[in-house]
Order: sequence, then structure tokens, then C-alpha cells
Amino acid sequence: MVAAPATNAPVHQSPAGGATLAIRNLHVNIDSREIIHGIDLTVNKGEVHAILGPNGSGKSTLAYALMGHPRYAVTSGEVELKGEDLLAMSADERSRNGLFLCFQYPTSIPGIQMGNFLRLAMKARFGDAAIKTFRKELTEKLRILKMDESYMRRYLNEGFSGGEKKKAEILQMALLKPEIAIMDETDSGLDVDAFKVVADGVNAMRGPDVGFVVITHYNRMLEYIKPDFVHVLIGGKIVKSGGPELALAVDQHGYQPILEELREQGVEIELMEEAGATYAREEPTEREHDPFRSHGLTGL
Amino acid sequence: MTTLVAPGTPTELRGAGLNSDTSRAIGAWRGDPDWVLDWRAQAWAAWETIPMPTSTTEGWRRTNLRILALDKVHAISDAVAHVTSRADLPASLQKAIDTGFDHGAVLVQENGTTILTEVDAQLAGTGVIVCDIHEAIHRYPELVRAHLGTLVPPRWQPGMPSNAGKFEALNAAFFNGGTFVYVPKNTTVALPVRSLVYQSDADAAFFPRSLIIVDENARLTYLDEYTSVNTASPEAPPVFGSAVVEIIIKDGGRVDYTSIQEWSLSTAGFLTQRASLGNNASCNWVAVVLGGMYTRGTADVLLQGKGTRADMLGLAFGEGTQVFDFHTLQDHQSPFTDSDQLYKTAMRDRAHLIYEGLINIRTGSYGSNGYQANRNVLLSDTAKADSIPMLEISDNDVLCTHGSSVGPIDQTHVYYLLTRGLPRPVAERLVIQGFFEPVIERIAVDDLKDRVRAAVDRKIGEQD
Ligand SMILES: Nc1ncnc2c1ncn2[C@@H]1O[C@H](COP(=O)(O)OP(=O)(O)O)[C@@H](O)[C@H]1O
Ligand SMILES: [Mg+2]
Repeated sequence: MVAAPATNAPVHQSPAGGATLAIRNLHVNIDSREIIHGIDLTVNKGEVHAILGPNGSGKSTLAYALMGHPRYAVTSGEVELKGEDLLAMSADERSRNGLFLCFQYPTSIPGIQMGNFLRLAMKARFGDAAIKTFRKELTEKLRILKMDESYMRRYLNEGFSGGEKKKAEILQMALLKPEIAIMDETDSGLDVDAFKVVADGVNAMRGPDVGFVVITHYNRMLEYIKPDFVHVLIGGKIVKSGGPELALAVDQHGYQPILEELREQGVEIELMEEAGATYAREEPTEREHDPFRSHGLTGL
Repeated sequence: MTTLVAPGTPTELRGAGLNSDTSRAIGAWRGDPDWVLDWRAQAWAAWETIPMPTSTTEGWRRTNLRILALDKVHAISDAVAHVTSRADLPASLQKAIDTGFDHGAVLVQENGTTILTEVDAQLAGTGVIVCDIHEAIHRYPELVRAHLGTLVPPRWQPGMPSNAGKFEALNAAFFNGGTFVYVPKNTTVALPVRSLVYQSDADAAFFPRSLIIVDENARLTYLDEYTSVNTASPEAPPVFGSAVVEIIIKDGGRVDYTSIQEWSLSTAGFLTQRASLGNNASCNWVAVVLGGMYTRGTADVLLQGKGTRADMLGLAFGEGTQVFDFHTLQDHQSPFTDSDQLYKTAMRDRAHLIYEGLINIRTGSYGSNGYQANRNVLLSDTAKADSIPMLEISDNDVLCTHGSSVGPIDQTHVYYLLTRGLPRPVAERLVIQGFFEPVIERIAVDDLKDRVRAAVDRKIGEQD
């Protein structure tokens, strides 16, 4: 069991020898339909893992399940974060223990000022002491991300452009200094300039203290953020893992050769409806994609 | 400038109940002129004639008045703090006054007696009057007589529902305390005028009656605050009172009015606020209601003149077994009048919100716009909200929309904050603050925004 502090969890050190994030045979349901059919993945600090896969293959589902979204039910399997049972932790405990998710579609919350929110998040993760250095750190990160101070007075993601939202996610990630950072298609929908700023922001964070899981469609991102490992996720399973050359192969030939190869080995991949022949690239609207909304959990 | 009003304790009225003798005696003690004595008598007669609303009375169906113990209530308090300076005020009042922003005037009343009046000398020099209502009756009789009761009459009048005005009549019969403000033509009162009404005697009722007159093209910012003590024991009958505020805005005038009700949770009270607007007048009205075991809040704007505009904002946060019983009216009586209402509430535990809001577009009010939105968040399965928006349209060429919603807190928002490490109570509090923010944002004066935020934070923060 996890030692579950209510607030201000100290930053745990990785136990000697253990992986920072260890996923074993993970199965995830959405509304009693299985989406993730058994995933194994080990991520250590200092490593960058890329996850590639067509639309609808379950990449975001994996990310949400790791981040403790109540709608994504883990039906079997284990996940350890620094040797502790991640699945026993609430979403906020996971965050305070060093897990971070850059959302593919960040939520807008009117009425909550960015600055106030960031201050509370820093306090939750690092305790009162963090408040003293918060201003200075914030100024520095804003500069790296080419964001104006005035963002701090704006409401959280409200009225932000796609690029601004993604930058705001990176800003939070940079401030909260996770040990495992999952980036869910942070690169999609960005123009060239925003893309560069985001990639630079991530590169500035790279180092021995953080492990990245970069979910992406495009090799573009992986040219900036060189991955150590590349995994192809199709039909709720990791069907192939390798080094950077795998990303290059996917970029050049798509997923078809991998699927054929698997078929030859007698492995049938269940493609989910969105993942149909064309791998549609357009982004759904936020409302359509909001996992709570389709469940009728929100009234306002 | 600090002026002191000698309290003069009505000891001979100690323990007197709500009856016509007491009503007369209060008038005599206050030195009321004949017309006010007569006014009180009419009001007492109205209180006796108007039937007590029951659960079958229109507009009172969800109200339980049995919690009131009117036979046990003392009509007036004999306990008044003797104050000679700010430093003598009870600590709670000192804190309430010192909210860190400048004001043009402040008037503090305890148990119906004004214990502190501070009016900025410069403000007084412009002819602006800020004083106790009883002082005003003596010093400015014509001004008071021409306006007192014109919006909230002491007795039933033709056109009013048969049960209307019962507790307003009670206020008129016993009124004791209240603030009088007059802003002369073309005068702008830049800094807020504040009134603080505090009931420290749990056995006595409070009946403050305020009258605010803003003359042609004048402008006033007003902060109206209400607090009360808890009863000595939970079994004791609730602290009871009925407060009335009349705001008269003449042609071209403008009032920014914010009221904050922070009664104790053992107080059951009525708060009736009504404003009238002359041609091209406007008001920005904010009613913040946080306290009270039962609050009957009546908030009416009468758009009498052409081209008037009223913004009406409301905010309430309930917990425990608090009941909020809100009735609002946007009364369009002239052409080209605009009203825009937004009431937002959040109810926790077993708290219950009742909202009945009417937009009335009368014949001849062509070219008018009336908007009304009531949004309620329920923070527990046992909290309740009944929202009844109503429209009555008697003219063409008008635009009206109304909408209401009742639902749980937005879990999408809470989840996002959780993923950033905020513990659930902190995340939920932040989402509630965010939910209220569009109301607070529309308060005209920044200092008052902060004052309201602080009051809301204090209330929401009680949970952990
Ligand atoms: N909130 C949801 N409600 C219902 N089905 C969902 C939801 N989110 C994802 N799915 C389904 O789960 C599958 C995987 O989706 P997702 O994880 O979003 O894929 P990816 O991120 O790889 O594009 C798809 O079939 C999709 O339709
Ligand atoms: Mg996705």
C-alpha cells in the first residue's frame, strides 16, 4: 500500500534498483468495454519513451488510466510508481508523488486565475516553502516558454488558443517537476513557432531526474526530443517496441507493414472504430472528447 | 470626523413583545413626529390584517415559518454597547470595518442604535448626508417624508398580492435603526459609503430600515453589511428580524449597491431590498447571502423611467440546514428598459435554496430587454435547490431570456485540478470560487470585489 499523505507529499526517492514507473499487464475499461488489453511498459528516470499509434488505438486511455481518471477503470494489472502501488493512489496523490500528464485536450476553467491556481499546485506538491521561490521560478519558466506575465491573471485555459493551452501544460509540468511526465499529443495542432517553443521547453527539462512518455503522431516531435525507446500501440496493445529507428520506419511507411507483419505471425489486432482505414487526423472538439460529459456528470 | 450618538437605553421596554403598545412606545422613545407615529400605527394594523403566509400561499409554498417564535421575541433591545471611539467597538466590528480600503463614510449600528458615524469631511462638504434614519427624520423631515415607504409601503396597497408586505409591515411598525443617505444632484460619491448592522442581543428582534436617495445625475457606491450573534443555546428560538432597504435613484442617477448578509446560523430573518430607477438611471446591485438559518431575501428593481438599466447579481453559499428563500423582481414599467440578472448559489450538506425570479414587462415597455439566469450547484446528495424563473410579458418588441440550472459541481474541473496535486477539498473550493467569480467580477468597485471574495472564502473555508 502507498503511504498516502493527504497533502504536501515529500518527493520520494526511487528505491534502489526499482523502475520509476512499472506497468504490468494493464487492462482498462471505459464503460465496461475493454480498451487496453494488457500493456507492459517500464520507464526510468532519464529515459524518453515515445508511444506511436493510430487514432483510437488507446493512447489517451492509457494516459488517463495512469492519471487516475475515475471513468477509466483498471480491471487487472499492476502499476508501480517508485515502488509504490500507483493504482491505490487518488489522482491528486499520483500528482504529488511525481506523475504528470500533459493533456491532449486541457480543460478550461472559467473563474480560476492561472496565477492563483499555480501557486496552490506548487504548495500542494512542495509545501509552503515553495511559495517563496515560486515567483522567481515562474518568471524564468515564462521566459523559456515565451509566455507573457499577463497569463497569470487570465482564467485557466479559458479562451486560450490551442498553442497557448499546450504551453500552459508545459509550464505546469516545468514548475511541478515530475519524475514521470506523460505528454499526450502535446505537439498536435501547433503551428511551427509554438511547436518549437514547446519542444524547447521539454528539452530544457530533460535530464536524469525525469522520465518522459511522449505520445505523438508525428516524427517531427521526435526529431526535437530524441527518444531512447519507441513503442507502437495499436488496438489497445503495444505491438512493437524498438529504438529511434522504429519511429522513422512508422514515419516513412505508416502502420500497415507492422500490421501485416503481425498478421503473418498470426496475431489479430482489433482495430477500434476511430482507428479505421484513414486514421483521421482532425481533432474532436473539447466537448465531444471530454470523458465526463458523455457520461452526463456535469450539469453546468 | 467622529460623531457619537448617545445610545439612551430603552430599559422600560425591556422584554416587551411585538404588540401595538410596544410599537407606539418605540415611536415615542425615538421622538417620532406625528406622521411617523401614524405610519407605525398603520403598519401595525397591516401586520395584523395581512394573513400569515402558509405552505399553500403563493410564493411561500416551500417556506416553513414555524421556526419563528414571534410570541417570544422582544421587540427592542436594551443592551447597547457604549461607544466613544472606534477603539471601543467590539473586536468583531472593528475587524469588519478595517477591511483595508478607504470609505467615504461608515455607520455602525448595534441592536438598532447607531454607535459610530464617520463621514469624510470633504464628503460632508458636498452636501451629501449620511446619518442614522432617526436623526434624518428630525433633521431632514421633508426629504424623509417624501420618500420613506414609497417603495416598501408600511401597509398593503392596491395591486399587491393579498399576502404581500407582511414582514415589511412588521419592520415599519417597529423600525429602529437604519441608515439614511442623500446624494445631491450632479454629485459623485467616489468612495463607498458603508453601513454595518450588527445584532448582538439574541433575544431582541432587529428592524433596521434604510433609505437611500440619489438625486438627478448623482452617483453613489454603497456597501450594506449585516451580522448577528448566535443564540445562547441551540434550543433557543432563533434570532429574528426584518430589515428593509429602499433605494431611490432619480433621473440619470447611478448606484452601485452591494449587500453582504453574514447573520449567525441561528438567525431567521427577512431582508427586503427595493430600488426604483428614474429616466436613464442605472444600478449595479449585488446581494451576497452567506448567513442565517433562514433568510427570506426579497430583491426588487423597479425600472420606472425610460432608458433605465439594472444589473442584479446574487450569490449564496449554504451549509448545514440553512434555507435561502429568494424572491426577485425585475419590473419593467417604461420603454427601453434593460435588466440583467445573474444569481449563483452553491448548497452543501442539507442546505436548501429556493429561487423565484420574475421578469415583468408591463404594457408600454416596448424596446426592453430582460435577462435572468439562476445557476445552482449542489455539493451533496442532501442539498436541495428549487429554481423557478418566471416571465410576464405584456408588450411587444421586447427581448427576454431566462434560464436556470441545478446540478453537481463540475467533475471535469475538479479532476483537472486533482491531476495537478490539489487535494480534493482544495480543488472543490477553487472550483466553487471559480463558479462565483463571474458574479464577483461584475461588482463595480475593486475594493468591494475583494471584500466579497474574502467573505465567500471565509464561508467556504469552514469545511476543513
Ligand atoms: N470518454 C470516452 N468514452 C467512450 N469511449 C471512449 C472515450 N475515450 C476513448 N474512447 C474509446 O476508446 C478507444 C481509444 O481511444 P483513445 O484512448 O482516445 O485513443 P487515442 O488516444 O489513441 O487516439 C476509442 O475506441 C475511443 O472511441
Ligand atoms: Mg488521444
